[in-house]
Amino acid sequence: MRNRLRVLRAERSWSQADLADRLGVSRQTVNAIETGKYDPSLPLAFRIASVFALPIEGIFEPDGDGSA
Amino acid sequence: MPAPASAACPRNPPLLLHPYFATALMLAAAMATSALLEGMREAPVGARAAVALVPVLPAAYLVWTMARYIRGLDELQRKIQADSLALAYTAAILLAVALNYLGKAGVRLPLGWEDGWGLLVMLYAAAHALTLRRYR
Repeated sequence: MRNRLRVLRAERSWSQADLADRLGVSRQTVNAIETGKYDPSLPLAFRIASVFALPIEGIFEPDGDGSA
Repeated sequence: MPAPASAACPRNPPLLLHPYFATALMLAAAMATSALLEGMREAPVGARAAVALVPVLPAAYLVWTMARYIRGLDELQRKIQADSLALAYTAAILLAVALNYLGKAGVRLPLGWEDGWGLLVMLYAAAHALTLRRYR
């Protein structure tokens, strides 16, 4: 699953630590999501969408082959 | 949807509540108990058993601090812990099978049950380091 987390965070001039604080997770988790090494749970994806005031599909999208 | 920060935000527990402190406490108790038992060879079995079980108390404290620590982790950190434990558990089975068959073949390694928990800790540390690399 791809995501626009890094771009959205940069647009707001937030550091990974800033975003981690807002989401209530560790900076390591934010970094792993941004680099595509970890796909967040649905509750965390909803929290991310809420923090950026965007729908989930505006942040996350499936890979080109349709797999998550 | 507000972030349940109090439930998911990783906390750095204070020293007295940290699993590392509990581990140090357990090690100290284990070493003190071993030394005490050496000097109690002539003591009644009941007294020796009471002293031998002293490390169980800090071990129980370690379990409690670890459970508290795990509850404070976020979802990725919990996944890393779960993956590490699964890897270490499987490796421990592999090691136990290997040692068992080496024993049947007559190869006696200088390892006893008292070395078991140390081996488990080392396997977990190695598994944790390997798992962490995946998400770095």
